[in-house]
Amino acid sequence: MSNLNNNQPIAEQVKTNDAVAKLDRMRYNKNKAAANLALLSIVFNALYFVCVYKTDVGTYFYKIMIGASVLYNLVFMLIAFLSSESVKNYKLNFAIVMLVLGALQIVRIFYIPLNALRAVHGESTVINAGKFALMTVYLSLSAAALFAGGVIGIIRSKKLKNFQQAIESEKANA
Amino acid sequence: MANLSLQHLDKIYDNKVQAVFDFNLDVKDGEFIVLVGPSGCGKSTTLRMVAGLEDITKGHLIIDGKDVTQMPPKNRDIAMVFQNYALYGHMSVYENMAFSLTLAKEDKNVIHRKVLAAAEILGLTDQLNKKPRQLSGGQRQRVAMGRAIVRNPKVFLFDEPLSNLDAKLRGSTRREIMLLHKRLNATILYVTHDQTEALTLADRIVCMSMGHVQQIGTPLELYDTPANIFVASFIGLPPMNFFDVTVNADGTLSNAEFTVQLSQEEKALLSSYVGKEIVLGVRPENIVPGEAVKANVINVENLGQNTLVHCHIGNKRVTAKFRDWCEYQTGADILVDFKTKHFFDKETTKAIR
Repeated sequence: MSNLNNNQPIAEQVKTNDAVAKLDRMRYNKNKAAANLALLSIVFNALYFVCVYKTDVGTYFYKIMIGASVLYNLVFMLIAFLSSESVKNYKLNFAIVMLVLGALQIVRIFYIPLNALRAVHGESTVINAGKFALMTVYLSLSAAALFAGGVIGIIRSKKLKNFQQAIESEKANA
Repeated sequence: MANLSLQHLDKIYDNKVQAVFDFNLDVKDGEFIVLVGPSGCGKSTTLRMVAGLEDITKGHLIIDGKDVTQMPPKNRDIAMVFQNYALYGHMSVYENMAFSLTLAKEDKNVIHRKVLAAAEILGLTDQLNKKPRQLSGGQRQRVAMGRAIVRNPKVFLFDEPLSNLDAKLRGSTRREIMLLHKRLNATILYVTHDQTEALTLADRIVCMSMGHVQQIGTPLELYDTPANIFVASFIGLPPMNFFDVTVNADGTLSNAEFTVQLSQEEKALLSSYVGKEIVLGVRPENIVPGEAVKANVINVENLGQNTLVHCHIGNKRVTAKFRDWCEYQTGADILVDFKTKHFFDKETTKAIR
């Protein structure tokens, strides 16, 4: 760990070195930034599906497609919430899950919104360009929040893991 | 830390009930003051007035030369530890201890260092990530103390902090408070109704009854030279035994049950009371096996190192504390002597000195 001085006990460095104190704080403080970003992604996802279900995509597309979308939304919210609670405690695996969920949110832009924009229903398309842009923004923001949370989660959990290893090895050497 | 001065404090509630009468006390920097007395005597009210949780009806509260009588609690730089801990259940120990500093928008690293230092003093370093519900009563009380310590206040106030703990834990936490006081050299005002806490912790004790200060002094002063019958009966366990006696011209004290000889000093002390009735007080440990007074044993409590012998002297129920293990049959007659005696004026209840 670049911030740590191997010639001085870590407890002493916490008292004098702000960078080490910041690392040590992680042992007692939750990773609220990553957790809140995961919750924010759920909010944007909710805005997206409200926007989708307000249109008549349901009457145009096959019912099974809409059903699958509803189910996915439920699963997404569950996993995003679990990730939020886990990254709060610096769980590396769930930070990676957040990145995967973020990627899937981008993929979703090309599923219902893009198909609905291209599909003709009567004299117009199923959704207009404005609606499509709004749905894209919501999904993109949701994805961005998940990416940011995931990256923060990975960085901090690795930092904490290394710091704890340094403490353990200091204890073992003592 | 700070000097504290309570000058002529009165507390009268809206319903006109007066809880505290003319309370005067000067607390020196780093002094440990214990307010002791029975329930309802006004000790907690006095503490709450110092904390600012109760308005002061009359008088002045001075901290480090500054009159803080009208100052709101948050500006008084005082930390209070409550009987029920008052911890936030949803926060970890670390967050509980850091809370007041977080509200004050202190630098996060500074908060961290203060919390770690306080946790080390209190032996809570391994508990910092736990929630209060995962801690024992003693540990919770230490967290409450830690929350006070991190603020580095001028004065610490403790309101019966050990009352919720079991006897064993109370003893160990009491010792921790004692060590904490030595380590921090803090000015402490501590309220309790437990005289053991008062005698073991205090530099000085304020004994209160019915809103009035009865005596202020060191634990030894209160024990050896109580100012009046109330203090004599309240301080000491088991409590002092009292007898109504007449002072005789021949240098004896007598009543219907016994006559005891007075020493030369005692005779001189009671010279103005010859022919009058006074109250004789004798602590249980000053009743020793002897010849002067006949007592009838009611029951015996063997405590290992000592034996408490409950007996009747005439119609008066008396407790004697004998050294070592003693075996007496219920109903047996024993003879005892009174060693150190305390004398009180029967009318004023004040000690005769």
